[in-house]
Amino acid sequence: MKRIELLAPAGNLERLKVALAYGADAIYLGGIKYSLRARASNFTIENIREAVEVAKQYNAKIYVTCNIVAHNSDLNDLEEFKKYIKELEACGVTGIIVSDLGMIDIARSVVDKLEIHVSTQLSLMNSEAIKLLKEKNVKRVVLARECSLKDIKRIAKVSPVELEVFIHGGMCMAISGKCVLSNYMTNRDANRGGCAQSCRWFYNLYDENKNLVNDKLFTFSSRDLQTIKYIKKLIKYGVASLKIEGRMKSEYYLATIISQYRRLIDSIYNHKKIKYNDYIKEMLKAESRPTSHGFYKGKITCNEQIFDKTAEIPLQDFVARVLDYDKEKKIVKIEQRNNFTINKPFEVLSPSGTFRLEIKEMWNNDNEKVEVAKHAKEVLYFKSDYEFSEFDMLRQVK
Amino acid sequence: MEIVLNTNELGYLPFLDTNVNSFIIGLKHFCINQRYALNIREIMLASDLIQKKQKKIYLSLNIFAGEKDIYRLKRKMKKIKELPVNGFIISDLGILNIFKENNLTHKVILDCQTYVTNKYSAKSLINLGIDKVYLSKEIILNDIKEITSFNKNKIALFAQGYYPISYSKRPILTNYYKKFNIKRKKELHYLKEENREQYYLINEMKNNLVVYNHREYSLFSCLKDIIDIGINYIEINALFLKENEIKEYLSFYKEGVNYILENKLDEYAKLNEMFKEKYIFETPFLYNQSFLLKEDK
Repeated sequence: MKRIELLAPAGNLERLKVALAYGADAIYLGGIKYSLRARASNFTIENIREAVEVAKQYNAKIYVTCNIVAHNSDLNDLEEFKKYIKELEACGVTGIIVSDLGMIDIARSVVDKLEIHVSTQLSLMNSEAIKLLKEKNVKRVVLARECSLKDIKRIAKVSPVELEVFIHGGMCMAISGKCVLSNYMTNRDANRGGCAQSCRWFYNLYDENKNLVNDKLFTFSSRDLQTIKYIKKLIKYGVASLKIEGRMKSEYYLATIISQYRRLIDSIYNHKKIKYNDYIKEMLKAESRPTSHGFYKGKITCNEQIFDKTAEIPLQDFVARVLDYDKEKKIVKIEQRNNFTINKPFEVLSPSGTFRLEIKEMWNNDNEKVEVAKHAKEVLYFKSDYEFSEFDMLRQVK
Repeated sequence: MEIVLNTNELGYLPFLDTNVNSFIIGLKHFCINQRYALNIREIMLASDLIQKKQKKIYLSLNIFAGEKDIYRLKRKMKKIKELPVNGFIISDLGILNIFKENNLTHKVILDCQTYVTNKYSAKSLINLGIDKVYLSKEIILNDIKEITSFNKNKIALFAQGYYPISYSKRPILTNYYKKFNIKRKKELHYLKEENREQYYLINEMKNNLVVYNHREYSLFSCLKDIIDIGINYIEINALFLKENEIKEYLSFYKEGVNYILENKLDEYAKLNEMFKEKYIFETPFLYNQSFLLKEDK
């Protein structure tokens, strides 16, 4: 049986390397054009080529998102789009993720080998729609986040193509691709990469006579998705790929979340006993929003929504990224990410796991002793017998 | 020009003797953005009355269907197939596939909530078996022109009424009321962001939450362009409006279309001025494309 794929996002090359180091089997990323998430750094064709080369070292795959809902102007230069698709195939990209049916047809007319995956932007929630899209010679469908676990099971039983499901990350309150709040409220096109997330704003709610319902503010804001307890079932159902959302997310977030799902998936395949709470506890260290199981149980209750402004917490646990380790001198070179003091204990997050650490002494580039790291991205050093690697991260234990 | 009235909660009866050409009526349990829908027996009756008046009836099954909806629809297909209607309005490709597998010969129209924004996408849908495709309201007039010319006689437009700007399957209003332990009295609500003037309509029915733009949309002022482009199907939606308002709209549109077709452009211009004086509406993206980020301005 083919092992399930753990699919992670990457907003730039650095995050791609982190995602692979922490156990992703495949990465999805956006190109400069044709991709949602206009604010993510996004990859030039040279970057994509490099990404494919890096992925090869991990025996991993690269998928490129071409998931805008295109207007005519986006496809005015049809030859440019065709050339881009051919270039993606030529540089070893495994597949493209597309939501626009016209773009699917055009892409299919110029490449054979490149897989076409139907984006969640097309909001597919049933097996009949998937059967119809088989006519378009697509390899995989990313199911809508509105599917329950039961839906996924039923669809997987009869689907003629591979299925990919979201397992973690931000959730649109609306059906993907069916919301243009941002267009109307900010003139930024939600379906072409400019979503202003108006659903996360707070509103006064009035009744039909325009009387204020309550002094409590209203928001559409959804809790983020977290499905650690459902992975075993998804594997059993024959889902092909488990997708983590977040091309805009930080390297720390990616490292934390990917490492936990990696560990869990491996434990399931190795029939190890699973303590779900350990995974959840670890993932909470990287979450800035409360999480829930989304639509997995079928019904959306108050527990799947956010109601107040204080629910979103800026994370400051991640304090430094390891840049280098001098094996001879046993000196670790780090780069500051959030203020920290050496008087409190640390935890090291590495692709092989986590462990506690104490830093007794730390110094900067001028060899001055530093107790409180308060300068953004300051390069600092400390001594350690543990052999650090490039992608290790430090967080302060509160 | 086929002027189609989406009857919504007002129903079709008050408009049987108006100059409307066709009616859109929702099928109970299978439509959204409809505040009132009919069951199969009622559809039969409506169909009879409507067709006696030489008008068409389109049945709306425009839900975004989950696996359960598909199962329920399959069970009803035999009856649906036999309904004496002129066509179906759908949003979900799964429903199209069921129609195809059941060799349905009716006209199938793709609803405007599917956001079709380019000529290739429209063509692709037509190739899959759609007879007419509504275009997104978020594209510019030039795009409508180009898409229509690329897909002749296959394009429909939403012309008048309140229209959704977001669909959700989350009962967010219900949850808000539960969370703050407030007794809910009304179905329809308004939202207003603190720093903005606009009141956006929001409506939740059976786990489907729809947000509407704060103003009505209207293509009346560019009716001539639309006819010149080759559009031959436009929808007026009765949602949240009163019977007399709809009757007025129908008169304006019918008269406007006639003036244009008879090349009485001065008369149409006068009518257009009257329309602008009488109603407040907006077509935010018809002449101004939205941008992606601030730097794209």
